[in-house]
Amino acid sequence: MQGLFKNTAGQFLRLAVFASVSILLTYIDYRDDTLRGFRSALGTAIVEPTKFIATLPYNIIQSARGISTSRETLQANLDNLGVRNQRLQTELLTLEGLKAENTRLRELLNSSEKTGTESTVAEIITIDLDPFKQLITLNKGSSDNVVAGQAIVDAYGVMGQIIHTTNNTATTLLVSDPAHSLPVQVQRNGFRTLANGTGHADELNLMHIPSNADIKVGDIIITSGLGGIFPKNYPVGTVKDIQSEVGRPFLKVIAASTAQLNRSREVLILKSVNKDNEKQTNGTNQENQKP
Amino acid sequence: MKKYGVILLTFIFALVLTIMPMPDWFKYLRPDWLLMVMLYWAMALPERMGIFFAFCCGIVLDVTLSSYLGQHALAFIVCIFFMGKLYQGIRVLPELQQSITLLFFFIAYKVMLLWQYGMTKQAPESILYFFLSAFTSAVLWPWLFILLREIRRKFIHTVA
Repeated sequence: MQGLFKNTAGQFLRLAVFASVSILLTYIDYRDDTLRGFRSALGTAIVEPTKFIATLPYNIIQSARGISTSRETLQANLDNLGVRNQRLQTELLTLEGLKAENTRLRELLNSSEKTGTESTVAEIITIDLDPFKQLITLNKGSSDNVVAGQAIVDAYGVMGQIIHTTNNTATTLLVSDPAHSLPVQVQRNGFRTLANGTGHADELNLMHIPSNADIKVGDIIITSGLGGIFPKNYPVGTVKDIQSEVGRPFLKVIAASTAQLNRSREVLILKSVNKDNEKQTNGTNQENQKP
Repeated sequence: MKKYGVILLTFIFALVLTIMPMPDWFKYLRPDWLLMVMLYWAMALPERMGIFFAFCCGIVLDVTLSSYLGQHALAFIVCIFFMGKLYQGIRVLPELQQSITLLFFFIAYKVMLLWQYGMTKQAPESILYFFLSAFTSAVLWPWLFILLREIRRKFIHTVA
């Protein structure tokens, strides 16, 4: 019966029930990742096609642009890449030697640490998610054995970690997101600290550095490997600015990230450092990361 | 069943618009398409567009935007609940007054999201930018209203 006098009590009850369900879901999702399977299934069924449709216009424009690129540009590109490849090959020769030497020395020291990590190449899908979070979507998902918690790097440094996967896509939290923190150390002296995101692309906040610490502008920051998600010794950033405020126990240190967080197109998904960490998947849960 | 199909199609279109790549200057201005479409159907066909449907849409949006499940859902169901109370007064207003009235819905939606982001330690650093999209939604409302009204008149014949 549709009339002027609707069953308002019933409506209010329905609101109360669904509001409680929403809050409960948020709480569970915030606490751990029990809902990962549900999220992944729903994402595969509904969100993946939507993302495909949303990127169609962009992809069409891109491929049209690709067709109309002139032969000269392509030739110049090819020459550039050829020269670069040659230079990298020569560098690789010396690197191979160093790597062998490193392994030998480590064996002498009885250290079990491995050098080199397996990785998969993925491409960034161009869609806009929440503008207030630093998130990107990749075109590899659980069907390519990508799991939440894996680290993402580009050719220049650490980019972030995977937080959700569907069959063919993976959502990545970048290191510049305010909810992300990354255990790092100063390359020059091994001073350990945490790099928190600031919300601005390409800027990181180095936390809890006492004012007498040995750190200066231009220092290179690398991952320390603590926390278990990111492998050791990947470049993260360079110190850009140091401010000491009167009355504050810590310095305010800003680092510029070396990874091209908002420019890279291709990224590498690294295999987890140790298998235990595949269970720790909630990227925004900072406990996983703290040393 | 065919009638529901058209409504569903407008929702899918809104979801696509929500994540479609846009120029950088537009990223804070992007209207809350899904909320706008939902509020329209809740106003025009209140007996079809209930709280349960709003909840489902919210969950889908949460999965799409990788927010915690239930965050957008809660904001949606509260908006739809109040629309269910007030639709009779709102749908007779001329378009301009309608968008001013709906601005309050859009802002309420943003306030609820802000509160939840704060609870889960994801508070945006600029509150001003956070509320910008509520105003773009209100500015674009008359056009969306006219478009959806035409769709409704063409495809859905009810006495409601």
